[in-house]
Amino acid sequence: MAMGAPATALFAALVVAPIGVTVHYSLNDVNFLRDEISWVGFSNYAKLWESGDFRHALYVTLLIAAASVVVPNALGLLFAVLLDAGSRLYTTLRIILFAPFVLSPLVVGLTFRWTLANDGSLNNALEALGIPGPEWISSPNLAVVSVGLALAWQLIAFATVIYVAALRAIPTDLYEAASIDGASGYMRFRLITWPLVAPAVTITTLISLISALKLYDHVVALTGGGPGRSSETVGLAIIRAGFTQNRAGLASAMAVLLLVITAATTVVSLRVLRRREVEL
Amino acid sequence: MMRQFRALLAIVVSALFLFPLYLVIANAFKSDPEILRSPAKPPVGPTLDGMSGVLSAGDVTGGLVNSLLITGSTIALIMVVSSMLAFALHMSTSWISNAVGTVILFGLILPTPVILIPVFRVLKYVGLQNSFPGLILFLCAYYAPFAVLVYRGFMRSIPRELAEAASIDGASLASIYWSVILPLLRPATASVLVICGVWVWNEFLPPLVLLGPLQGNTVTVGLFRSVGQFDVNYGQLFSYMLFVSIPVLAFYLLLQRYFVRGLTAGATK
Repeated sequence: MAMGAPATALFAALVVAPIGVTVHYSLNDVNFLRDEISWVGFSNYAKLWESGDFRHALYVTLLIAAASVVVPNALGLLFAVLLDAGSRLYTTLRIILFAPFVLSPLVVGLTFRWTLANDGSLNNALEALGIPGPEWISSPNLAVVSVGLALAWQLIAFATVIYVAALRAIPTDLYEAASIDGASGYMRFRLITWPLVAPAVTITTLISLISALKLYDHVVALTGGGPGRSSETVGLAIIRAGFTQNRAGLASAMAVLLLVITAATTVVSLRVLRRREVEL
Repeated sequence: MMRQFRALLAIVVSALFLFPLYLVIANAFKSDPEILRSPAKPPVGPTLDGMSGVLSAGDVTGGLVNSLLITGSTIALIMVVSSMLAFALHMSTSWISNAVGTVILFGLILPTPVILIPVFRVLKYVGLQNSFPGLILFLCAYYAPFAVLVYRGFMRSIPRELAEAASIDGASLASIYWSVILPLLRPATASVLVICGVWVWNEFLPPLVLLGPLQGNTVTVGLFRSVGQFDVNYGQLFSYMLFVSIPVLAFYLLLQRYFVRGLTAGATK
């Protein structure tokens, strides 16, 4: 195990220990400026429960997380079926389509800010079709949708490429045998494709869930959490409380909650999704 | 007919996904009035004003150098410590290594905002706050779980007997790792380098928090700060975004095969 020591030590010091410290801070009133710390029990958590702003941030985060599980999985699989072909054209298109996933979320957020602006490209396109474009970024509800769109943009790109890889791994003779047995297109999808892409569903769901729950960069670049605090996520709330307002105790309570939610949802989805996976 | 329609549809969908990148490239070479009038139009009579403006401001070059330095050191360190840990876990069946292998998996789901405040305190405690080494060590610890996952998955295809045979011949575990295992891991290493490289390059919150305002910062933090400046020059802003994007895109295109393979390797346990 000696060879594993460097990584284990780094992980223990800079990931495990900080989690412990976060839990500890969450039960205290922490003031870094005066270097004071005093035990307050669960009162930080109680404050969060009473805070409408935090409940809203939690709601926004969970809403985007739910959408981020459904939309990239559905559209990713759809686009993957479209792009699953051997020719050069499709190989090139797949390389192109994945590009959004490697771009900085800040860059994606900023380009979305331009595209979704009141006189931006999307509204111009809608206007050309005779549909009046809404105020994406400055209306409270659509600001949340905008943030979700920017994230989904990257996640769909990711999901598509993962699904294509999964589809390509399915032996074609399975489909041929099913056709000979008279299975319809829907039956072949239901009985061959869907079970065999199960690992792709698992990884897409987990990556989407985790990306959505820690959402920060996209929001900062696109709406800054506004208008007001209507598109603020838990990630933003933690950083604002911890750094801008110097309320590390409160921020840590939010962090612990976010961590518990992330662990619970990922463990449960992993359990459920792994059960579906079959060995070929 | 059906085939052409499918190809057309595939091209349209892919083009739609390229739009943000197109916006960055097109507007980096347009003048401000042009950008404001029609952001989606291609640059007619392209101008280099934005690019040269952002370069002469100096901020972006410093940021690029810092990002390159931080990303390079981080992924080199991740490669070494994660492959060593994966090898140790591969060779050992003790309860300690089982426990480490399980606990480290939880690192995969950890949202960064959750631990940054205490990480800053820990780094301050050892005198590494507001420093590149501090940030590099944290990013290494944060992304090591993913690298370990990829390496462990890959090692399943390497028979344990191979290392055991070498050890019967009298080779130490360290020399087996170095001369037998590491060369075999090359494809996994390529995946780890390109995936972690892209993630580390794009990191925004950790450098923002851990490097602080005094030190020179990464190119992502520089981009964020340039957005907040008063006299916004849009051509320069898009040029800045282009400078942030070019290195990751180049890295991705160079190693894109390994990118997808590494991500799916994680998927199939």
